[in-house]
Amino acid sequence: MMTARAGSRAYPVDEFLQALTAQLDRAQDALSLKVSGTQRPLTWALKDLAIDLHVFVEVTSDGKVTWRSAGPGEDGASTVHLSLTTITRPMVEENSFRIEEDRDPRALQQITQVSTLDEDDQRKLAWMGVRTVGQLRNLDPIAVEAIAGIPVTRLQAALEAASRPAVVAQEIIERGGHTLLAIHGANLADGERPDVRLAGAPVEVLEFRPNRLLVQPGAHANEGPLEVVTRGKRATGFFRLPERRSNGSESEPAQEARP
Amino acid sequence: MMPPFADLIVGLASHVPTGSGSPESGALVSVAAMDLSLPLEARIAGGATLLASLPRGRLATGFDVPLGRLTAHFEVVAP
Repeated sequence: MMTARAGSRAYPVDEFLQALTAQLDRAQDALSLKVSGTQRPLTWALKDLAIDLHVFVEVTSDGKVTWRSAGPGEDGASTVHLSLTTITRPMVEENSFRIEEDRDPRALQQITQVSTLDEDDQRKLAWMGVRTVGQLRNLDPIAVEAIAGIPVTRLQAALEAASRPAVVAQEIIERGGHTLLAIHGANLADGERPDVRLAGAPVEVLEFRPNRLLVQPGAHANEGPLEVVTRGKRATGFFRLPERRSNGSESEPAQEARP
Repeated sequence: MMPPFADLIVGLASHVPTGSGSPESGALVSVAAMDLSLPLEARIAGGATLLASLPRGRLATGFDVPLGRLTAHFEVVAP
């Protein structure tokens, strides 16, 4: 399907649009600079823009839509009509997805090992703007089957997998002369204080949120299996604490959890 | 070498005055908006960057890319 010619490459549409909006920002900055440089009180602002481009629309093997400029004398190109308009900051904020507000910001790929969503399903969900597990959980499986053709049973299985607790990473935190362990993941708490064991020994849970637990390691092994049980569901990982010294403790960068 | 699309936009707008005259001369004409509709030579180049320029007119050759079209609405604003 790809018919790349010398000197003419196909680019993903999203990359092209990002590059184009960056250019428009730069153009507006340049027009504003022109005013400040010349002390003129007014300047031009680009409010609406439409461009007709002759391109070949192609789809790569991994489902990305790309555009390639039509070359001289090349027939059969499509004409893409792009209309862009100015949007205000409140409009951007209203229509943008805020990752920090996602209750489960794990990427969908992180649950594919335990769910039945294949690459094709993930691609269809990405086209719907669904990139995180939290976004997936907000969907109505029946509506998704109608729109994207992903069977309800497969989505329900994925949602079930997504609702299980999971340990993703750990972080050593020094607080008040104590070495604490922050456990990052998903579904680690659900309103109740979870049970946490480090190397088989129960430890005190100081803080608990669905995506983060803070525990006080006891005087046991410096490394070993990590276990979190919340509402009867269990997640496991591996923890490692810094070597303890007689005069205090030493911190260590975050470690990836071992599933 | 075809310049980036941003350069074309800046070039088109910055060469048009936003007004003329002055209070001292007794008349002040201020431009409110400008609509442009132009043929466009455009190409998507490295980094998905859009390069664009106005057609070469009488200097055009048989090896030019097919012309697109640019429609732009500018307004005069206080920065």
